Amino acid sequence: MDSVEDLVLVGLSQRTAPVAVRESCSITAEHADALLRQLVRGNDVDEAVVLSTCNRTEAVAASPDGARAIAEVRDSLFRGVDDEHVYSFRGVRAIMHLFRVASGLDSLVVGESEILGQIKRSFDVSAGADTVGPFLRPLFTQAIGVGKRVRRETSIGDGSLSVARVGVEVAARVIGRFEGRSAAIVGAGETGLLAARHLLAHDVGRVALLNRTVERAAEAAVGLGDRVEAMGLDVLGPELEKADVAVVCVDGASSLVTPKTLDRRKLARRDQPLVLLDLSVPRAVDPAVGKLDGVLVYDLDALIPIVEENRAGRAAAAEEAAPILVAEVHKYLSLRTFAAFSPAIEELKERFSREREHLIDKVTAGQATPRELELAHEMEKKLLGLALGQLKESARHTQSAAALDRAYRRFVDEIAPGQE
Amino acid sequence: MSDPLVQPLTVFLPCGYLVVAMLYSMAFAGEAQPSIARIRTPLLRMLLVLHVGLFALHGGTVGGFPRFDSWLVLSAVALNVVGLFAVITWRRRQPTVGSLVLFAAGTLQMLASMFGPTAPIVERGPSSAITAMHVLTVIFASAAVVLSGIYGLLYLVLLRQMRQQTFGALFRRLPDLRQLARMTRSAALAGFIGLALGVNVGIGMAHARGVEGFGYTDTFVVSVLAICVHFGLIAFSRRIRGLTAQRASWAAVGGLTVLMAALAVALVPEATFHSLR
Repeated sequence: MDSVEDLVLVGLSQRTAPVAVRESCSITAEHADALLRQLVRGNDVDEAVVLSTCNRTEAVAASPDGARAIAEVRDSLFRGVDDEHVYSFRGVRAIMHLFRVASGLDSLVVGESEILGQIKRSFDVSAGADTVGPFLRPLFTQAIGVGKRVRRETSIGDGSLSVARVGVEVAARVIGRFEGRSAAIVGAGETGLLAARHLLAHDVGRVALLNRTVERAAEAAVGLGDRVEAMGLDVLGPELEKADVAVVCVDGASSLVTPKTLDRRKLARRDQPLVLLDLSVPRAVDPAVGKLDGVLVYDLDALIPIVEENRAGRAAAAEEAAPILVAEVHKYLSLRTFAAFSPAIEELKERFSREREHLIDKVTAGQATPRELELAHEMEKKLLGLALGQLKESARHTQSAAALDRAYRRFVDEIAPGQE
Repeated sequence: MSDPLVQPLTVFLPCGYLVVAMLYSMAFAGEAQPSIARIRTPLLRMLLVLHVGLFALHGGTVGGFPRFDSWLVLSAVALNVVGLFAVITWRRRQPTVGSLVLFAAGTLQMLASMFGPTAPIVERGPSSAITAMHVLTVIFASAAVVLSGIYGLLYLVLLRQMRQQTFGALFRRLPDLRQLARMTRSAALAGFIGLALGVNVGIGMAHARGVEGFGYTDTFVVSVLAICVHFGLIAFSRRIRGLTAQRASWAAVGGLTVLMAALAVALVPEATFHSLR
């Protein structure tokens, strides 16, 4: 690969392809190994990394000819997929895209951090298949560093964007740590199980999973671990009274929990209030329950504004990330340019050395004292340092940061209009 | 003659506490708090040293343990509030709580500095170790009671915010409800133990010295015993059926209010903290 334009990225993601297409192009780690070896076996690709997650499948390749590499990757990974679903980038745009992906800016949930681990694993698979070399190794190392830096220096990862998680965080403001606490989940549907997983991830002591059909609850409980007990709705009241936090997420069961469901005296004697999260549509918890002593009720109307606020915060953070990405792309290009000077630098070093020996012989007629030799060495080192410094400076100015910034904004406008 | 450093210290301390309270309140801004807020902990420790120094100067002036008049008591309570807070938060930082605690301490010290006598500063008090223990434990207990009331107030404020579904800075930055309840009860327990010890030592001293007018029907003695029992109930409220964290917090705030009202009545110029001399 002589020019940065020969670095290519071809892929599809949730922005361009529906889930069915994404599923059809998904690549397992085992399959990736064979695919990578096959890609570099031909003449069009020197190095390659394949990233495949539930929301994207992408390949980054370094090649002797960018256009041919794109065609090769397209044919190997996305054969039969409509052009409208597949994107391809070359050179600086490919680097920008990779850095955006690593930073979570291109994710379905902006700022999610899982992608960074997925990139690391993809890189490891490629390293295992021996398909990364002097071009992709530094690029991916830097991409992972960029992802970490963006998360460290901006608030891109702050605030949850899932109602279930936000609900659990609200409950944490009441009961503090979940260790040893008791939770009740009403409804064994997707949201209920998601809430249960969040609570279990916080080390909650016991989860009562209540459902109309106990069999369905028992089936779901098996996959959640031994801290989860499946029950029917006949014990709804007593289980809610026992719990520190309860999540109700059932379909079409308005007023499943009413003041009559709960024992007021027991509630009034609780040391800390019960946190009752109603994530159902329509609401399954009667608003009158919120007026009882010892209960704090939060429904979707209360929780969605927090999610929206977090989403807005992440959008603002995406804007803050732009200068970081531009600076990192600039850094990568400067390093690449400087690396391209390597043969010239080696030659320069040799010439300096030859000139030094020639000069010292000429001046001392081959009778140089150790002091004179040391002086000549020092002068050579100093002059070589100055020359290399100048080279580095030139490499840094190969690409203007302002031009890169404009290019980045054009790129973002093109791929995700209105995001930044 | 008072030490020349007493006057500047008397002026500096309340201002210092209020400035530190302001620095602590910056914690409500979370990550966005200005970098100057970082100096709050070293500044607080410096103020503590200076406050202890002020009492050392008083002791030096009278050549022994000073007699605690009402204003000096107020200043000592402020010192103990800050000291207790510094100890409690040595490992587990609670900057947002600190803003209110230090504001209260600053206000107490402000009153002590504004109305307390300056020259001659204090008289020499009874020099027995028992007297010193009586005075110091009661002052420590008062500080703990003040903290309990403040924590209780924060619990009630946070619970109200949660009921109203207001997810603002208080909701995000204050300790959680369970922790606030624990802090309220722990401070009440410290107050209860301190008061029980201090009051009993005081009663023992009154008996031993045959203090004129002392009796268990004395309003002051009854009030102090009532406050002691009150905070004892708060301290052990987890074991008392129906005395929930919310009710315990109301009780702590009520106890603090009564104590402050009693102090306001007692703090008549020239009056001592109690008349049993």
